[in-house]
Amino acid sequence: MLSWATKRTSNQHIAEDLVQETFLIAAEKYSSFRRESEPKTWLFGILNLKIAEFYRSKKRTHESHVDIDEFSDLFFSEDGKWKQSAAPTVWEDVDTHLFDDQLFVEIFEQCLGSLPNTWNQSLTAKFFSEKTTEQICQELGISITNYWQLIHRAKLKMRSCLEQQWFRKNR
Amino acid sequence: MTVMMLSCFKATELIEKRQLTPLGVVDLLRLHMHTMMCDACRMYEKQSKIITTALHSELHMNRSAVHVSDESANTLIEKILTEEK
Repeated sequence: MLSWATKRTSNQHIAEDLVQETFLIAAEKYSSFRRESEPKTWLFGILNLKIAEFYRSKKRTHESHVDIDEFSDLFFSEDGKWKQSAAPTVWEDVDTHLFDDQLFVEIFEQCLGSLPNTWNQSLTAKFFSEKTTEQICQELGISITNYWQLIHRAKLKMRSCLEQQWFRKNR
Repeated sequence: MTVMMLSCFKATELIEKRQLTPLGVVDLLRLHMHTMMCDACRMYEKQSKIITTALHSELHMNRSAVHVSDESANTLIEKILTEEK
């Protein structure tokens, strides 16, 4: 199933996700499986639906963003584990006073400013306005899935920026 | 069992998603299982929430400094002026 999905999507990570989702659906819907066909045929039927769904959502989203594999390479190894150099380390002296520290606020803003525009917007829109997620997605012209991915990437970048610029230097 | 295993990449994505929307039961379970075993992702979750808090406090500062600029500022000034009289 994995090699089939990899062939169809030409992306190992996406294929893995789709196969995983297929099994989750199969586990959920097992009671409705009428055994008129081979289990294998049934599973591939679900997988093909998932692949079709993936291509539909891909069509809807804008492809102008950084390739997800390319980006995750910065922080994660091929199997999705943290790279040793990028794994979070302990942040010391974090309390509410930290946000009153003018130097910290400056560095925080620097880090925020260094993000690509859409990332910055997706991260701040939620907090700087009372808009719903749907409204934000509409304004940015992205799908909701794309929105999670942007937030995720923006947070990963922010985290490593703060760690390098503040927490490691202040020890 | 392998179906239940998340990569750190996926786990951190779910950590972000969870802060903005409730997760489904399956995802929640998978995330719990992962963070139970993974120190780095547990740390990530903590730090991600710190960044969220920092964003919130930024919001309050910017609100008072920048956001009141247009019509609301005018009405505010008017209010202050009438109260002074």
